[in-house]
Amino acid sequence: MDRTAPAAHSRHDELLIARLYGGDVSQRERARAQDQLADCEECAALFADLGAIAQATAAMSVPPRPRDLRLSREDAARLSRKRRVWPAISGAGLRRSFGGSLAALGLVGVVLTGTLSLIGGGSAASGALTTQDRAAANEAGVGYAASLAAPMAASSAAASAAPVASANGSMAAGATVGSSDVAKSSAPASGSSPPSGSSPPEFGAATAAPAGINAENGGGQSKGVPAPQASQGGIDARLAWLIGFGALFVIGLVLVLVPRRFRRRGRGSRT
Amino acid sequence: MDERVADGRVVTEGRAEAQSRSGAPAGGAVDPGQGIDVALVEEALRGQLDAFNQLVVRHQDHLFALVYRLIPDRDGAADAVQEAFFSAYRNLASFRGGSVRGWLCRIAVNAALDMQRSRRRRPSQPYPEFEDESWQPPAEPKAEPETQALAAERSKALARALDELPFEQRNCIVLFDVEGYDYAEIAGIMHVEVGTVKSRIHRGRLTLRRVLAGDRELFRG
Repeated sequence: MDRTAPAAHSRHDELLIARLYGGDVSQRERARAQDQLADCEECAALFADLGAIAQATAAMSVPPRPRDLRLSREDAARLSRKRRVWPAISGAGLRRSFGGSLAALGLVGVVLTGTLSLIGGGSAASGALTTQDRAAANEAGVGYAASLAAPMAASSAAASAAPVASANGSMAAGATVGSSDVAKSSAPASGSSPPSGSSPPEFGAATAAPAGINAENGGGQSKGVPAPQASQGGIDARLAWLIGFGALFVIGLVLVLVPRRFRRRGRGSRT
Repeated sequence: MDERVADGRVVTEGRAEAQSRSGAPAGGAVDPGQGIDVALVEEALRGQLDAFNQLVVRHQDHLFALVYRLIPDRDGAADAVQEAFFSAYRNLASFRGGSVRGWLCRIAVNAALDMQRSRRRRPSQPYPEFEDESWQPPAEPKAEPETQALAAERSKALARALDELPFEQRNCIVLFDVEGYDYAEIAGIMHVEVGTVKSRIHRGRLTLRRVLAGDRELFRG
């Protein structure tokens, strides 16, 4: 049988020969592969080599097993125990996953709390400025609101507003909203419509703050007293959240980075 | 040539058909000690550690030989097989019948794959035993010295060539050629498509042959 020169083999599909050896060909491919094997020495040699390598892989000698792998009584007792939560977490993969999740949660919390603090602080500051500007405008000649606000100042609502605001400012978000509401609530007080003089102070910072602002407008007390007190409570709460999230972040990092403490005890009886 | 081709197919497909008829799961040949294994599993389930250790003694050499081809050093392979026996002991109740040997092989292969994944981050010296000239692979007692020497050289060359392969190709080739799993079983173990397994095996074999080009005479002898 005349066979093609080795140079012609470069045009042949070697993968087809490998697939033929693995029994992974269709009828048409089988016929084409067998033609190749019949016509090309290199393809025939390839097919023979694949067989020889597969046989050698199956017969590959293996060095002696380094130890006996029977289980000791201690191994059996350890494996029979119910797995507790912490040892499960202390396993390398789970521990890292858990630690990574904690760290991510902590980091997100720190960033969110910090961002909210910045935004809330900015709003409160801008609200205070707006209030001061409006108060200045009132002093300059908007007499209607000032004249209505004066009796409210006499009721010493400003003094009671701060504790209520502080008490209601236990949540950071609530304190932030309360601070920004100061500006919103102060608008009607200094606007053309008369404020409701019966606003109950127990509604908290949002309600109490306008009273304080009105008091400062009419009563001549120091400006911005209630707002800083309300935001002080908010800052404390935010600080607590920041510390909490920071602690989560640190604990997560420790779980991820600190070397594994709980190694498996024993590897069975060794000989 | 037709016969050789036909042999290749018969070996692959015939094995799968025989397994499906007998109900024997993966692992190729029907295990003659199956009855003993099942009895030992039942005893171990009743808390008999000695029964489980008899299972270990019966299968530890086979599992070590299998895993050693996947984990390129003795201690690592022994650790993987030890982990497999731990896992088998923990999950004895999940054994659903069939071939105990096939069940243990699957657990061992999974343990080896886990170890490979962890070692990918910390590569180590592959097959250190083959670099140690003082160690010689065991040979058949009645083999001629020349045959023994040839087998040793062949194993060394093959070990080096296997180490050149990507993990995925090496695993598939070992499971197919050594353990006798078929394509679908390997796909199940490796959690990939059957086509992927076929591609890895065919391409891996071509790569092996290319790597072994300098030692080709060892395999043609």
